[in-house]
Amino acid sequence: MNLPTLSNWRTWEPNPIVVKELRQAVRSWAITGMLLVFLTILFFVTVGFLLGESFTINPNQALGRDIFQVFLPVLSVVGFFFIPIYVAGRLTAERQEGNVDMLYITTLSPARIIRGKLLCGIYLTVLFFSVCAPFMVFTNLLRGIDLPTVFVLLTIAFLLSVLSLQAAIFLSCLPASKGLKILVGAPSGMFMMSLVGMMVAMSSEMMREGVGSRLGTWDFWGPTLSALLLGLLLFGFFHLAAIALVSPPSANRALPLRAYLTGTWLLTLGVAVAWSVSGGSLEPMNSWSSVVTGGLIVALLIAVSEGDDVSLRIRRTIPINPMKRALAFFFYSGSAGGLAWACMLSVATVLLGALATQTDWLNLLGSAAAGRGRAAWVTTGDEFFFAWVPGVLFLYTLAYALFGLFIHRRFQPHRSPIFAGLCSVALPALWAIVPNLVLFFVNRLSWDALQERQLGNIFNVFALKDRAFIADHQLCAVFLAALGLVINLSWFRQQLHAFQPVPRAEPAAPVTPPPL
Amino acid sequence: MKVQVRGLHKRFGKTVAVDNFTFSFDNGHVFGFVGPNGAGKTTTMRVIATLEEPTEGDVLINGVSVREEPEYARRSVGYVPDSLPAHNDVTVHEYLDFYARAYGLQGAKRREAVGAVEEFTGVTGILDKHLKALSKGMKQRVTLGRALVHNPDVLILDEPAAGLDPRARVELRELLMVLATQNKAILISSHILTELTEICNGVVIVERGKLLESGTVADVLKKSTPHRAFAIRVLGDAAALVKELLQTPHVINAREVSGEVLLELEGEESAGCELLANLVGKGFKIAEFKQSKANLEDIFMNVTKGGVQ
Repeated sequence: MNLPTLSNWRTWEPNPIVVKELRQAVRSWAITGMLLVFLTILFFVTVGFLLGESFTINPNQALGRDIFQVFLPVLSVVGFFFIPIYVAGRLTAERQEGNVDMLYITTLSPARIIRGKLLCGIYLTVLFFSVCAPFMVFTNLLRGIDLPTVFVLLTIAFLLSVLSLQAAIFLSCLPASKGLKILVGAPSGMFMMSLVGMMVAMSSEMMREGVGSRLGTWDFWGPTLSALLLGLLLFGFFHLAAIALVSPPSANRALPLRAYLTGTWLLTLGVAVAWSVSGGSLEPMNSWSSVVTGGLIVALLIAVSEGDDVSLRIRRTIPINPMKRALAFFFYSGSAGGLAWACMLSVATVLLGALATQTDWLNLLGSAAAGRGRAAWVTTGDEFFFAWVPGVLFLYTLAYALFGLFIHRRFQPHRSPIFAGLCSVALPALWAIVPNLVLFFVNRLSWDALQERQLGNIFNVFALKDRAFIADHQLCAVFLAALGLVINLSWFRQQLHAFQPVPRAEPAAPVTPPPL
Repeated sequence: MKVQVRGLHKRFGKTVAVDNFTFSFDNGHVFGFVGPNGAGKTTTMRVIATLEEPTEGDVLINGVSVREEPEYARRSVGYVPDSLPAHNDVTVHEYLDFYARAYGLQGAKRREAVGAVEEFTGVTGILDKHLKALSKGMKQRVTLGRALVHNPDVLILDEPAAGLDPRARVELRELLMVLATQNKAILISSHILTELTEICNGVVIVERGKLLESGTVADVLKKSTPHRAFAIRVLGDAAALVKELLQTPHVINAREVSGEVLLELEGEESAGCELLANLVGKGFKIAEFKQSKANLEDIFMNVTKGGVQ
């Protein structure tokens, strides 16, 4: 981290990317224009409300709140959309024009490149927030809103802006065309739009009840800290993923990401257990299990799209110690290691989720920790069902990923490894569509038929007529995954054997240059 | 020893872009890297500049592998790509200053380095101009400045003269000649072989991903054209001279072209002297006798087969 310290403050210089980006931002009409539009809106909203108020006989006791409720969405739109799109748009253009390429021949690390882009975006966000803050604080004088509420809402909006900025940088780093990036970015944009709506709803609630009185209670800090932790974890993921995406292919791109995600897994497990114990409900555990499994399914598809060839740079760093090497296998770049890592975490996730429904250990933990006499909760059939669904989904995905892998390595080895990932997505899609197409053509397709037991159809798990069918899906998924493992066994063994350290070569005798 | 390319392979899917390239060049060498489009020149240069990783083989810079220590290579290599900077909101000075910062130069050292490069490349008069407003030649100077800002020992230039007008080409060539005298190891690719002839003392010829020849220009010339070519202008009967030449030992070929007799001769340079003395002795009135110097273009045409991939 290039930060000024007591020892280097005299010679410290800011990140070169920040210097360049801010120089360009100062000249940018987009930034200047947006700032002017932003100030104009703030000014006219304030003047409009004050003028409108001057014509009423009974003064509005919540004028400040009303004005604030207009300011906040305007600021959120700038923070959640405009600045992330501006920063990500520039990065996308630079990647396509090969300008970023040129950065890789300098001594700047990928981490500094991403950090520079992020810091530039944060500077711009601070600039817009600084412009807006005086107007927002001013609303306190017009009644209806207290200062703690103003600052808490500004902080939330700022943190969400930074998160969306990092997410946008991540999207712009994806190795895809501009069109595809827009396609992927559109749902994210819609999500951010819903966040603006959520911010407005939350601010309305907070302003009505006031934050000041709740600042000393756990009811405020508990959810706030949990949300903050999740946001931070998400931010960290986007940050590391963006760095991995701009790192050279020969770098060990998977290591920091997998290590981070494993840490995240442990941390979120702790939070889910804490909430389950304190709330006496399985819901947090089930939600955790579902979200984590969803993430691991994505990780599985990414792992299967990785190549087999571990670069020389990575192989130089493989530990010689067998124990350390075995651990490194799970975390280093490479398809086999990625699959093993995703499977390991997924098995643990599903087992922990199922364990929660099978035993009273959460009750035990709850009573041991607090002894507050909370009512012990009982697991229901629904909870049992939902505990196993993520496991079935993961097993199906694993099976199709292994089939995709087999097709690629066996029949299309010259194609890019992404082909294996595409097969892993295409196979379940085909298996879900083709039987129903047949039903359609024989005129037997109905909602009832769709909810029937369709073994191997991953989407059927979400629409089962009878929840008892899940057991059949379980068996089928286990069988398919086992089949996938068997057909890829020799490949997996090969990968394990190939995961060996390469000693550094002795310096070779120099080749004599031709005489001039 | 500066740069050793060893058994370099690079594949893109089924396409073999670079197939077992091995060559080397040193301080003060200016090596021309010639070959038709798709021969693997840019890929090799990108590998040396650490922008690509080779499938097999390695490049050693001062004995350090670019695969194992790319950071070291980046400090030692200045790379001029075949594309020009396209920023529309960055001035020349800011651009060079940014790259100096990116290479870790700080404070006064950075200002000195940027100033020196601006002066060397002759861009001091356009420091506040935006890159987009520059001519191609000026952009090329700025790109060269960017590659030189951290004072690298090795300079890799990919088609630096492409699209430049004659004056800009001459100016670029002069800059490169100055750099060669500064003891830098330079690898330069170009399609304009006559340009390279004047500045290169070594050559690497590639075609369809295969290395055909490499070494000093004289060595490659010797290998690719084993016979010496001479042109004779004679006063009187040229046909008789041709007849006489065809009967002379070591003369491979002789023909009359536009009043001159062109011939190819086996042996060392002294064989030409002996031939001249022989002809004069036999009463031929030789008005002109000159050895034709082969240039890179001749070597290229002799060595390559005209295949592309």
